[in-house]
Amino acid sequence: MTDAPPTLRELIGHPHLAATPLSGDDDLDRRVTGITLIDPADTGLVQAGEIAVCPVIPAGYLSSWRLDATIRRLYDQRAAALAVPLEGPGGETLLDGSRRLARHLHLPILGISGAPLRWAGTAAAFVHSPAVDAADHLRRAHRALTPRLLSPQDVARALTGILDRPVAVLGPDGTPITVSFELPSGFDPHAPVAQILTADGHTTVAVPVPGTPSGTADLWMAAALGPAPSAWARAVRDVLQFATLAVQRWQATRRVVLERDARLRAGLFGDLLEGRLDSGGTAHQRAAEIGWRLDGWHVAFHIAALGQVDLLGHTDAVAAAIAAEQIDVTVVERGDGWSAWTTSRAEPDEDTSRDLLASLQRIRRRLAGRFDCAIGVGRGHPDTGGLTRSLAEAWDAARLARGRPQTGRLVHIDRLGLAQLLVAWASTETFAPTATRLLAPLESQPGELVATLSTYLDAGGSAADTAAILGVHRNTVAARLHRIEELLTVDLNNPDDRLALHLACRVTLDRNTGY
Amino acid sequence: MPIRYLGEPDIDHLARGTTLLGSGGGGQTDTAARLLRRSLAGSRIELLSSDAVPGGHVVPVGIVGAVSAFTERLPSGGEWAPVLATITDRTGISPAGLIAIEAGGVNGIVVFVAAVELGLPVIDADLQGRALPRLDQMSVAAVGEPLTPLAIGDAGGRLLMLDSLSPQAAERIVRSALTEFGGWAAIALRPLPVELLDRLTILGSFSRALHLGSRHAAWTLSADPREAAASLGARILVTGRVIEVVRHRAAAGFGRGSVIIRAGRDGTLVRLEMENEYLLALIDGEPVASTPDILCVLDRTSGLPISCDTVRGGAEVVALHLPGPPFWWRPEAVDIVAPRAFGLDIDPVPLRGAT
Repeated sequence: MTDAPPTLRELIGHPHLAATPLSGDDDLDRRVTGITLIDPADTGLVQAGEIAVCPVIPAGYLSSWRLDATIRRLYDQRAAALAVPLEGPGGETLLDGSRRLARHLHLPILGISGAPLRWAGTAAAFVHSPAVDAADHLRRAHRALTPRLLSPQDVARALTGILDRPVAVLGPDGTPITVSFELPSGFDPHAPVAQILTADGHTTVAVPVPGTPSGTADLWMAAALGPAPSAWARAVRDVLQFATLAVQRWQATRRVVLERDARLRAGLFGDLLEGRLDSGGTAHQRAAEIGWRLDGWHVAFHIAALGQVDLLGHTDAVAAAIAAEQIDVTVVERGDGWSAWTTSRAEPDEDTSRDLLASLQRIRRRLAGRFDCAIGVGRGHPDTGGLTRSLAEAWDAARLARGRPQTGRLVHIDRLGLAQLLVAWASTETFAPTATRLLAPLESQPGELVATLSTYLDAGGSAADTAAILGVHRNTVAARLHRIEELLTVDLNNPDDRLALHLACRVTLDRNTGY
Repeated sequence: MPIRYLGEPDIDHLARGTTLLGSGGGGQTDTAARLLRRSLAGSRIELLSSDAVPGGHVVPVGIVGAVSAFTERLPSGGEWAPVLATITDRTGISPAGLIAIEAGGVNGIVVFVAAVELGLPVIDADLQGRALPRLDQMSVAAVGEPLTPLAIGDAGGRLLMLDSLSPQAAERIVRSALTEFGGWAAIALRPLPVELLDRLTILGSFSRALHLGSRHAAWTLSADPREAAASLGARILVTGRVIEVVRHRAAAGFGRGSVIIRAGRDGTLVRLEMENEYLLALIDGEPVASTPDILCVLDRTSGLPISCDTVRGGAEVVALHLPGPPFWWRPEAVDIVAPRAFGLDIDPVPLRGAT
């Protein structure tokens, strides 16, 4: 692939070719076709478009008339620029007059802070065969990324060192994950292809890390290059694309580990939930081995993901979100989400409980970018048996929290009446259809019979109160109750019937109002 | 051959001319001109062309040392009689006249002060044709003739005579001895036979100085600088503002410096390299003039020459290029006063179009 030679501005944007424009920022947009070494005292030949590099300068040269004469000579030869050491042997720098002369003749002067000869060699190599430079970077990336497994952040850090430019890992939508990094407005997160974006002369390269099942990007790797030659930008793209392999390898390995751990945890968790983790047993020992804390006071919570969510794929994110709140927990995948518990020596007090709720609300918000969730919190209970109990409470609370957007889909078991718990249990897939069927004969009838029945039962069997609440005449209530008894063939004076009907009403009404 | 006299009316032109020949060096001539005016006290000095002297010898005289010290401690009279007597005693030659060691700057005037003191005529010639800083840059030395015996001294009777020493050695010894004389001293060199003056000296230096001086006096504020320059036989290098003056303090020898002038018209940058004199001119980095030619910086409005030690940033100036004495352009002489003689690593730049 051949393209236009880099401009001076782009060339010095290459991390190995950093140089200070000593005669201002103008005239840096000319193309550079080569590098030539010159002797400051000699009148050697420089081709048009070349940068003339003075690798060695005598003392006083930078402030002497000879620099002016050199500038003039290079101007006559239509050189691209003059490159000199930033400081002379005596620490002297350019005179203002020489800078002005360079500007006047449009012959930029570059100050090189490192070894000019090395700079010249690197520049010549880059201008004439950028592929060598690209290969060198790829080789260094290969050496850095292959020997061991690196997390995406570590990959970004390694590349930042190799490219000498900021490299970041970004989420699927392009938001930075750990470090701050801004993608230019031209970035399109929906096009999972490598993107080289240049805005205001600054180049950014973004490369997607492909997601496993679909063509969408799981993550993005991006590098901010500043002014950069296009060949260098393409080299960076290749390096980033190579790096995505390292990221994918990390993801795959991590997945395997997670799956294995998940199976182990699922087994142990089953034991825990069924109260089989007695102290001294082998299961108890294995739980201790994987770091589960079973002694002390436990407060469990359950994070239920709403909608179709690949749980394992998000376990790390959930753990990270919890860790960000400085909560020390054990996290286990369970059913529709993750259960977790905190453990302390003493019984948790009100403050601890309030702090936990506030933290969990923040965790919910933090995860909102990935999926919506409902969180339930159990009470504090001691020891293994208590943990089992708290986990069960958290699970129940999470079920309720799903239907309670008004509480931020976060529910603590303490805030629930036992009756609601009962209702929650009754709302299971086995009871709900039965409840609906039980009341079905009333649905097709006029006169709001379900509402009347529900209100009557809630009002403790008082027809007068029911009439007042519904705003109808007492006789109307009596007539409706009579019809209900007929339609359902029940006796409202029978406590068993009343209980069954009351539950059925609550479940049905809750369902109809969206619970 | 008619005899020419130099009297008080000529002093202004003499001072202007010798200043221009100073190429930015040679010292401030105004004090020396006042001194000469007082010495003459209405009288006049014979200024003889070399062929108007029937025979015999002339003695080169002048001052050596820091012209700033000269201005602070003016001659009190009687400076030159002792050094001349020393040379006369040493050589047994009685001089028929005096010749200036340097026509540029203070020495171009001081020779007449000495002439008044010694009662001798002055020959229209000198040993430099301009201002140059060192004894070994005398025309006599350039053609391989000795400068010694030479004597330096002052009115107080302090005296140093050197003999059978090379010009370079004489320069070194005199330079190091000057502090003992308070910074400057009167000097007399080995007498020169009149018949060899056309080979050993630069003839017509004072005619040139007086001619330049009269043309320069006609320089008026409203005059077109180009015409004024042309009347001096000079070309304009740049008209503009001094934007930068750098002076490097040298560990040994004279301090070097650079003056950068930016043309008002098109931003062209002219750089003058200087030591005691302006030595090299570059226009936009291209060398365009150098010693032995003469470079002058004049105040743009008053036309007054600005010397190397008084040039300052912000001044509006005209920089001129005057041809140097042809003597110094001779192949055998040029190296002594070429830029390399001042540590500037460049061949002398002849006037464009000249061979």
